[in-house]
Amino acid sequence: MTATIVAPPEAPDAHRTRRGGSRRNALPVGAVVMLSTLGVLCVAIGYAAGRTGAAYGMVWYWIGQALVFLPIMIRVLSGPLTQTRAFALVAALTINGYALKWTYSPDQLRFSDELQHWTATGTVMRTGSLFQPNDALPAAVHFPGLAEMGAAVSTMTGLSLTASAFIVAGILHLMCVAAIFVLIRACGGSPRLAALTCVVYATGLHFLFFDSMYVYQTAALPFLVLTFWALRRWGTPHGPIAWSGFAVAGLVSILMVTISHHVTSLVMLAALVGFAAIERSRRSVIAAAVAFAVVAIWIGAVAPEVISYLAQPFTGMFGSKAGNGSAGGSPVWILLVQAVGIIGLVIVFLAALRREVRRRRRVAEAADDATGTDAPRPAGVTGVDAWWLAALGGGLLFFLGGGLRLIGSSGPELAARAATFTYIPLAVVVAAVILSGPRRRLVAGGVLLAVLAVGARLGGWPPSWELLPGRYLAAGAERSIDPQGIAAASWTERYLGPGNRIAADLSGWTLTSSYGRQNPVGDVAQLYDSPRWTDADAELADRLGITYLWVDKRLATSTPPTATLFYGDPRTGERTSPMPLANLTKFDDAPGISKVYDDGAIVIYRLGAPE
Amino acid sequence: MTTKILIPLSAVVAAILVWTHVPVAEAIAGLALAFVLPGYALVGVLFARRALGAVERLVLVPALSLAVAVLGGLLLYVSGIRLSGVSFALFAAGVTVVAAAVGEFRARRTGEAVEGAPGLREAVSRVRADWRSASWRTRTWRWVAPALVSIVLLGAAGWISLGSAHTQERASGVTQLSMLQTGTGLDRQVSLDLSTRNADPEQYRIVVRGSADFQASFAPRLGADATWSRDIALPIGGRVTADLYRGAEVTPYRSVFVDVT
Repeated sequence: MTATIVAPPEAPDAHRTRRGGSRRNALPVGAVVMLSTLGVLCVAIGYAAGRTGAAYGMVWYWIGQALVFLPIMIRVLSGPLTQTRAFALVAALTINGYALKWTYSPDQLRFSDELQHWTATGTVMRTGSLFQPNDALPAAVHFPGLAEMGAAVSTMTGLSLTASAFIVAGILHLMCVAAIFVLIRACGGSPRLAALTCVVYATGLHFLFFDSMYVYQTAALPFLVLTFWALRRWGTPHGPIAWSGFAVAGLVSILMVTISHHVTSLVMLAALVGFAAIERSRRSVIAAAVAFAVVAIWIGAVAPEVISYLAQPFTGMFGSKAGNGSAGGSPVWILLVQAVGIIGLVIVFLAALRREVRRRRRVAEAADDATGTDAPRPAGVTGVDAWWLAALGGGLLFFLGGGLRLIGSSGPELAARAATFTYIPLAVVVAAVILSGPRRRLVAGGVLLAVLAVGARLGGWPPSWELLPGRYLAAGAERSIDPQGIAAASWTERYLGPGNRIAADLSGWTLTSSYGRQNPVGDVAQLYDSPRWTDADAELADRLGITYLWVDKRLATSTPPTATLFYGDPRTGERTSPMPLANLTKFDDAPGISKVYDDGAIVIYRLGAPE
Repeated sequence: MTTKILIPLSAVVAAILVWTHVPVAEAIAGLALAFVLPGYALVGVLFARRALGAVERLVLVPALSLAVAVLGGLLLYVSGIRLSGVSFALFAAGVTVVAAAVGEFRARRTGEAVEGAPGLREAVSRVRADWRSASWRTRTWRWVAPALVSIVLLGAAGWISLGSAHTQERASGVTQLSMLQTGTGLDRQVSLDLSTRNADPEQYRIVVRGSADFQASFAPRLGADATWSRDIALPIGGRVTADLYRGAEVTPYRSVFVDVT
């Protein structure tokens, strides 16, 4: 490493030992890892209690969450670390975090986004081909990176698709955090700074779930970070072989991001262009130009449809309140916890900005003293300084992106998605500020990280009302993916064949599109919202080309926790009571409708006669 | 055996194991081809001996291996080759062998002492040196015992979670009754299916009623995870109803109907 440090510098530690490792009174890393892993066991006990409906589950859950996160955070904050120890702590936090995700649903994928990609991977395995239609997530058809990984692992190992998906997502997640670690190290950060950056990143809203799910963003994220790692290392002198090696690694990373995920590829392009504007070096301009060419060619030639797909959330920001199946708003007390964390982040960020302004003023004054005030200033920012500025710029985008929360129905989701990327540079800034101050700043930093972690558990995914897995819940996201629903969806594929147009509620939509390989239809709330089947209903069904109706009578047994029941639900936020049973049984008496499937809860009707 | 021979040889053996579907060995071989071998060989080609740190290598090996699977998959698709375990494995093994050969060729030409991916032997020798320098008690206490305990704890967490998830699934028994029209006109008939995912065997009774006083009844007894099917020819069109009863119950447990044409 030729560079020295990511600014600002860490405070000198009076407790360094002669062996250059840990403080004398700091807990051994091995013990810290054990404690953290014990937390996974506690959470697993909490999950098991949740499945039986036992009330004590939540106590075990929070004890476990605290054990997984706090010992590692405290150990990183408590003193210097060797690279091996720092990475061991980071790896343990990531592996244990992933174990929390896996133990939530260890036997099958239940998250709707994961099921969409599970379906896409199954299609690759079944057809032996790429770019095949996927009604569950049409946009993913043009970004087959994750599906290829899953298919390669499953077909080469003979493991089930679900097991392969768990393995692929876990390794990608670990790769992402390890890539952040090596990026900070490549920028001259100490092992402790690299570790703390990863710890801060682990307090992100999506760290435990969206960033470790079997979804295409998980596939692209590590390669996004590796792109910047390669760019950084490209400039370090290691001879022509290594030089070309880093260039190739960077190109491969750009290709992998582009093939894997649309949003991440656009973020990568924007970040590279922004960094080139800051650094103005030849290599950063080349990297941005290459990324532009690759992304433009891919989207232009392979995935032009993705432009309209990506525009939807932005138009939704100013459009109707119709639900998109997301978890809905959080309770006020959760928002308060998150607000405290955000305020803390703002304070830390402002401290970093103030320090940077002062430092630049000092440097400028020193330069003026040395060269005279009339001497020209250098045009660009070079070396580590540029990376620090980029981190500050990225951190600023985190707060600007947070403003999206306040705009329209898609705002909160867009803000959370954006934070997945902008939280990486912000994590660098926060870690650097925490480590650069006196001991009381370490304590305050620890408290801030704990608050952020709690806020992420409460406001991230799964939503607060399903922190524990449990019994069936109407329109309850993962809680609706139960054996009965899976059996019914599987029946549709086996007996009806794939690709039928089927109207369904949110969970039925997820199940039929994945396990059933059907073509579910949104905007169908009208068909379920009255106690009588009317001519208008029949006309709507005909217009949407609906052949089958999925009716889950359990919608009449509980209130949907998100107050929404359908994709494009015009009554989003208003469904504060269970749906009347008459709305769900009216189809029995409707003319021209056959009841072809009944398992006591889920009923499937056919509209009209078979062809 | 040095890594320059070991890595390509392992790749070839792994591809053979994937091809021949040897149980367990196939899984290990597949994982090695997916996450380790191609990336390990490519790191040896792309980077000089001391260019990378240990953690960087740890990231790049699976990253480049997965890149081989993804970019290779695209190449196979464009070439019109079906994506399968064998094609993925042969491609990954081929990349590994070629990369190892290029690395060896370049090492001989430049006189650089590169064997396979640089750093493995360094890392191993460093771990070995650390192992010898610390006392047995210290190293056991600091690294081995925590690692073993952590693995046991993770295993216990997985066991508890899988056990409780399976228990929950078994507890939610499913009984499916379905009826689809499978023939029209003179060949009009319906296919009636009953399947259960209940833990205990159960006696059922199915009564089928149609137009013109058509009636048929069946008494299947289904065990766990069993399916019963019957094609029923219908003399006349109109609505056909099938009611499922459990044991001696008089209220239908499940009910389906089809308007037959």
